[in-house]
Amino acid sequence: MEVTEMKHHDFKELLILSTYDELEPSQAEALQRHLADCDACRAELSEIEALHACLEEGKSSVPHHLLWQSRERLFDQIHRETRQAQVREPGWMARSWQALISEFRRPAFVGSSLAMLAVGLLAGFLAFSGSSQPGASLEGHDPFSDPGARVSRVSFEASDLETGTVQLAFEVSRRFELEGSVKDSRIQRLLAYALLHETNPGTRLRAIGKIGEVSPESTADRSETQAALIGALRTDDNPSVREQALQALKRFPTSPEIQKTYLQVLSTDKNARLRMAAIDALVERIGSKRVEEQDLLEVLRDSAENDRNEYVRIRAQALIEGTALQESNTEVM
Amino acid sequence: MVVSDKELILKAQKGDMQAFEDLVYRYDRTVLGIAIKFTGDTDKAQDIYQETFIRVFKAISHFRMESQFSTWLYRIATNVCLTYRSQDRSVNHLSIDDEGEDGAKTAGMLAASLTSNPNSEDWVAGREIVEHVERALRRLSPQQRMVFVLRHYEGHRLKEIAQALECAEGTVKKHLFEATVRMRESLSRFYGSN
Repeated sequence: MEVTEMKHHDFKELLILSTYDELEPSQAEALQRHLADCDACRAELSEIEALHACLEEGKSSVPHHLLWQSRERLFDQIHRETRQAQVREPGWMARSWQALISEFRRPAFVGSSLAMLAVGLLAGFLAFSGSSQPGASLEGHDPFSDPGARVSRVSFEASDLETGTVQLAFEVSRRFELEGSVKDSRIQRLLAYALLHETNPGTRLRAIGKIGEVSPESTADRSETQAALIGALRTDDNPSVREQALQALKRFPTSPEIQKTYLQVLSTDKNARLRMAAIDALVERIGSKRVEEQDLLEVLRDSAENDRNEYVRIRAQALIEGTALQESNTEVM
Repeated sequence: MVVSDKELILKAQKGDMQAFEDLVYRYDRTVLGIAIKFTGDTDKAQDIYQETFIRVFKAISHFRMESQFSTWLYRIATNVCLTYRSQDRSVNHLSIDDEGEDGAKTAGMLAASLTSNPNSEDWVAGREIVEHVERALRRLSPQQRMVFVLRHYEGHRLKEIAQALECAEGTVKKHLFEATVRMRESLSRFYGSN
């Protein structure tokens, strides 16, 4: 509509759009001219502005604990789906593991029944399936021809009484042995894998211990190891594993991802020891620098005000005020 | 130096999980904020957040950079919101006059979760306003509410909203106009108007 043809009623929409700065210059000019002569529209504009003030009062920010919780759930699910995809269909997320497994398929690694770490399921599936389709048919392969293979989790998928056929699903696994230095990249990848996937917490703790024997600089794939430690710190249900993962992470160079993980622990971990360790790690990293990042400030403020643990509250407040290092030094003295 | 969205997307498309996480962290506060405002329920908002980013995760390898990543993401998020609403009729059809138990309960839960310090003196008054605003939002149609949340709370331009919702800018203006009128009707008694 041409602005010259506009009538009183048409300006009502422009009034609302003007409060959002969404008018064309010609519309804005026309509205200004109209407002100069129209008491009703000026009153209307005042009301819209009052509404905005009211909405501003009722405005709320996204609670950071909810955000962290959502992130945790999201990456848990992605992690789970990726694992399933690795078993069903090695895609882009599974390539690195497929590469690792291909190492095990070399004759030098095949043949022993001594298990070091549980990579058997994936390795065995890939070794036998040939094709990488979900629920791949075993045509041309006989899992029983390999004495080292183990069949498990057999289930009935379908049966046909008329033809007498049944469809079974099962998993075929195989165990391997790998011996080498903790600096060996394959060993390191296995340790990282064990840390994230092994069900026995003792094994996970030992994996962290072994990871810790190698300096981050000598770690073959530092990002993969770091990611495993971060994953354990974020999601492991065992507090000792989380605490050891945090201690191991402290040796890695500062990165935004590590800092985010400390913040998540500080914000959401129910274990006070973990939150204390996280605030200490943040103090080590930030020192007496001024904290300007909004995410960081929000979590620190929340911890300073609401954490049930006094040590965490005091340290968080000191970090906000830039006096955390002074306090640390005083404690040492 | 700040890494661009494009660089992160290219890395994520090659399987770099860290790059994908960084992308999520850039935008997820906004997505969760939209979902909270849209549903008025933190559990449902978390479901929407989850579904949105799972869809992004699954589809990012096909993202061709023909639009801004944020536009694409918000398109997914708004679709998830609107679809979620259409599945969840119980919340969608709250009565205009609803001041009843269910409405109060949902709004109260939301208010409790959104106000950060329950010990402050402002908390009680703030909570009351938050409750009324949330209730007023739920009285809008899903489309009106989505446009209002994106424009008023998230500050997106109408043109961007039209792209996200895949509709004409005129339609977005119409929804914003109607939403504002209805919000005024619902809230006028709280800011001293007739």
